[in-house]
Amino acid sequence: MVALWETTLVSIIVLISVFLGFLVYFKDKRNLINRYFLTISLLSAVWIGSAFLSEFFPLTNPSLAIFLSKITYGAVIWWVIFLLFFALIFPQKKKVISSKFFGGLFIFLGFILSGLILFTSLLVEGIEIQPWGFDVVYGKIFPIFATFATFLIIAALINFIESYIRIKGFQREQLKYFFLGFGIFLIALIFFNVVLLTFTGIEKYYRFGNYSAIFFLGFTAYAIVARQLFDIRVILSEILVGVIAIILFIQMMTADILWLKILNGSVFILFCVFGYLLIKATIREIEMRREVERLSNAKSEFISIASHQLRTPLAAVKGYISMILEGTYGKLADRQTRPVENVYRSNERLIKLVNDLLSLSRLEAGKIEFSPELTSLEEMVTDIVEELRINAEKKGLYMKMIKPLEPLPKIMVDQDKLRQVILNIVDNAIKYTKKGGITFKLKKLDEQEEIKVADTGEGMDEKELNSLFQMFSRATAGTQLHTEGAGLGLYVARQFIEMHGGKIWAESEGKGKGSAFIIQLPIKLDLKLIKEKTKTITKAANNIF
Amino acid sequence: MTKKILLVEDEKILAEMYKDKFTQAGFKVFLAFESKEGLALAKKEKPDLIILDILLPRENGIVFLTWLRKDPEISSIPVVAFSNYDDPATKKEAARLGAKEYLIKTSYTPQEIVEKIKEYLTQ
Repeated sequence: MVALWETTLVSIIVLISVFLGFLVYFKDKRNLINRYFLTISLLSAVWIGSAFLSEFFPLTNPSLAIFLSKITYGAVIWWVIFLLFFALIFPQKKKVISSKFFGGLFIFLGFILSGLILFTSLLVEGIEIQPWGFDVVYGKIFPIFATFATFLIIAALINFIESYIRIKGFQREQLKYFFLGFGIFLIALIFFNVVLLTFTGIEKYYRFGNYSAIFFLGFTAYAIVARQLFDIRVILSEILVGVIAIILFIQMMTADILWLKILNGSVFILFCVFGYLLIKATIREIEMRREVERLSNAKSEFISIASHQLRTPLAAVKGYISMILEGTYGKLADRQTRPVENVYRSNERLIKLVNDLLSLSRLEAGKIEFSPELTSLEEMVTDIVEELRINAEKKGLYMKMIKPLEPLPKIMVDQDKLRQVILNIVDNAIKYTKKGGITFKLKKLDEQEEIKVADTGEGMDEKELNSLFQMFSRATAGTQLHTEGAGLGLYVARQFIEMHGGKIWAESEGKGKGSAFIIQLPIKLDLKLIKEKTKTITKAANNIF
Repeated sequence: MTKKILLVEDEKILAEMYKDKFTQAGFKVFLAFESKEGLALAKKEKPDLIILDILLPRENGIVFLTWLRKDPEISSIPVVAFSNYDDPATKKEAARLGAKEYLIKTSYTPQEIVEKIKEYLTQ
């Protein structure tokens, strides 16, 4: 006998399924996603409705019960076909090889199978009356039916998972909702049809697995229609709080003894209050994080645009001053050369500061790209030495390179970033060395290649060495000799080297004894480590601002 | 023979400066301040090389490159992207469309640019 409450529940579920289908459809009639969703919703309504209706007639009209069961299985066939079609376009269309051929094939198979199910007894042979209702007696094509349905569901899920891994942003959030709904549906199906049946022998609730399809439809409809999705964690905590509250409520209502009723009631009320506070706190935390992200993005964008705008006049100053110095506009008098050179140098410093700020804003926004190429460190360092030799010689400093005994093998590095790091170190070395010079040394270690840049400059004490690679820190020698520079360069350098999975540090025997900067880069890039590093670096940069 | 260079650059000061430098270095320089004008000049003068700014009024340098590559008459002219807009995605797009290099203006003096361009032209 079917209870009245179940009739009411199924009627509501069927109506909601149809309603959700049309709601999504009318939001954007032309969109294939919306159309497929409508089809799936209507098929769900037919499947749930016919399965439920068949429960009324096993005794009074067995042939009608059999017919209704056939409709159920026919609907299931089309349901799985459309689930796969849906997986190929939601949340974005995939390129599938021979999609027309396979689409046609599945539709053809769908017609054949559903025809066989509806008009023959090959799947539903008959019914067997049971205390809880009836069991379907399956015919010969049951294995084909089961394999077909399982195969399509697995294929659909693989496609959804593939999309989830590939896609980022809003569409990924949409998929999270889909998975939540589909997950609840699957778990309920397994729970009512397998777990309850196997472990407790309770069969009468098996239809509840079907009813939970409403969760799948509800969450997916929301994911398709909503322009902005609530954070999935809010929904999850709401569901969790809701389920526990219902269990506590049932416990309270079913308690036999008054004091137990009061105790359970108090627990229920307390839980509701704390549950509410928990959800509120979750929402608040998520809102705050979104705001922080928004501000952080706005700031990074501002720095990017400002950097670009700043560079235009800097390029003009650099260009004209360099041409004046080259004598393009006539030879400079001796006493004019130095001031003009100073203008050029100051401008270079500004350019470097803008570059560092830009790198920093990228690191912070997680927008920095890591593009490694096979590189000979020897060639790269030689180029840099040649480039900066003039600067060093102008200051009366030597530049020397000690080559490795055997040529170093090429390794994968992001050339732009490593170049920026080495230039930065050499620039500092020239800046802080009054006499002597700079020596470059390259060598191969077991799993790394090492670049050492040693100078005969000011040197540093331990305290300075420790704080050197932090943001806005400069060794005191730096402060004494030059007051410009915000100390961004070495911080950015460290981030770049760590991005490679490498190390950078400085050594000095103390004040007046010169210093050395050592960079070690792995011969083999560990891509997994790089991904992790890139994330933590981004996080670290975020924490500082 | 004098090599012809087309410079697509909307910043007048920079355009003038680079024109001065390149003229002095013995090139014949044509200036365009936006993409459409640049494309018309490229078709008319068939320069040996195009130096292309990326952020331009109306259609940007990437659009210019797309147009250029579609026009068989001028599609094989080498292009060097030259901008202060240092965006990895834009750099990749420029490389995909066949830009020889993407140079950041503040990283080079006009003399260094001239040397780079000479290198390209002798290749």
